[in-house]
Amino acid sequence: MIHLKNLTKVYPPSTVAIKDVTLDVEPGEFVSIVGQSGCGKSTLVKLLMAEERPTEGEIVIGGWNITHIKKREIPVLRKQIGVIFQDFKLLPKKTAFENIRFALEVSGHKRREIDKVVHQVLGLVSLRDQAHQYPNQLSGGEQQRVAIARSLVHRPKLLMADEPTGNLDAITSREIIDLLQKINDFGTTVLLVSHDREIVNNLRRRVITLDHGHVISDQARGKYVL
Amino acid sequence: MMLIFLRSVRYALQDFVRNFWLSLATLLVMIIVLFLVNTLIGLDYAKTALLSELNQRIDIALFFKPNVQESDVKRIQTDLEQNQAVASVVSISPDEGMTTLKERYPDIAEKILPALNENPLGYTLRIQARNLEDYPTILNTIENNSEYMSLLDAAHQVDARALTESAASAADKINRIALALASLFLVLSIIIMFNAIRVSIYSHRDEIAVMKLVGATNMYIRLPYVLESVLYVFCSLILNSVLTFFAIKFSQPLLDRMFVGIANIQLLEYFTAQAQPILIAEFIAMALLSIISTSLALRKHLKV
Repeated sequence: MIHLKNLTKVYPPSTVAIKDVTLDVEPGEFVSIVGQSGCGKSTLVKLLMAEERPTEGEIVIGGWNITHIKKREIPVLRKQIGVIFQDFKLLPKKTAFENIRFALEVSGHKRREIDKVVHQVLGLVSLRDQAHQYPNQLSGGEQQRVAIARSLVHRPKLLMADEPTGNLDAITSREIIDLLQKINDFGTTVLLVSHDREIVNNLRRRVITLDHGHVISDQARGKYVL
Repeated sequence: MMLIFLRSVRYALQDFVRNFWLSLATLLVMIIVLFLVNTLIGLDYAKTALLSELNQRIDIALFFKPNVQESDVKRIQTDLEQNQAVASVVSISPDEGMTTLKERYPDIAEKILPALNENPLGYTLRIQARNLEDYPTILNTIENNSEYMSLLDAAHQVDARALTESAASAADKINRIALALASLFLVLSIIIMFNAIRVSIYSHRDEIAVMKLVGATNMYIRLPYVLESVLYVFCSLILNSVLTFFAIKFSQPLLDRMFVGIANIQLLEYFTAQAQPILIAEFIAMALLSIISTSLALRKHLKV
């Protein structure tokens, strides 16, 4: 699903965020990427969604080499991978329903089809009753579930979660991780970026540890080692 | 394409209503800009009316010697009418001149005229220029023509030159001030408008980033904001028309008092007659300006 080869990202003038990272993620895997603040986790996510360009190396997602992706191809890539963030990144002046609908509308889907899919994903994240509430009327956990629902509308093969529990309490965090596991059970590859030791350890899945931009550990049933 | 357009219209309307205070602030700025533009149009109309009134009250009178024949006067009249700067040339015969003299100065006519055996007046040509600034040129043309000068009573030209030159100089100054004001207003309007839109787009920067992240193309993001800015223009035009109407209603009595006996400045009449071209021109100019401002302001935030 993901193939990174000698990936390096240097921010001018000489800040090395990612250094010579080579790794593969197989379809259907649930992979946690851990590390301390500034170790390059978020840069990796930005590179994977073409928000940043690599300085060196190669990125292949689902067989598509996006190392030198053209600007006009970026929207196509982003429709194929789901991404959720610590700060949810919802449109504040749109309701939960409209936020999810927007992700489908940008792809030119018809209204009837959109309504059907939005209802389905809202059901999946148990938010049908809150469909017409604005983000500021929802709790943090509910907002993150809206973001997850939005990321699923295109039925992505890959879901990237960048610190999805960073703004949530322990119980809500657990709910969100359960939801991600449920999505993974349906066959979606999940890439979880986190520095939450407890969550990563409880998952008992593959853990890749980054330190100063380097991969220092990659364990199939790993733990948070730092 | 139609689907994208219709969705963009919906997004634009939603954003306009849901960001009420931001919309109101942007709208107010645009109303101020349009009011500045309308003030400028009103000032230009008042200036033109004043100068036109002044122009009509001034003319160059060429008093011919009594022995000059009508055919010579007609020839000079035709010559002058060919001049681009001349609006009209009216010929007054000695008899018509005498009638006017009697009407204007009955006492003088009663005492002096009986002593004269014949009409002492010659032909007169009254020349009106197209613009006040043209009078000196016309006078120069006449004074440089030795044939004309040999037929004229030169005494009257001194008065004409002094008057017309001061009028032309006043007109020139008024035009320069009006042009400077117009330029200043236009530059201010463009800056104010551009900044208002920039602030509006800046406050949407996070939303724009989110739209990019969920895969919206630049065109899909840009179109609703462009349509919204055109909507601002449309609403501000309507509201500004109401504001302008009341401003004219309020200022008309002041203008009437200020220019009594000088010029008839009817702002409401003028704006009513010119409403269609003014509104269309303002809409096109403002819409273009807002589309350009929106596109420029968006460019920075679309690089996510």
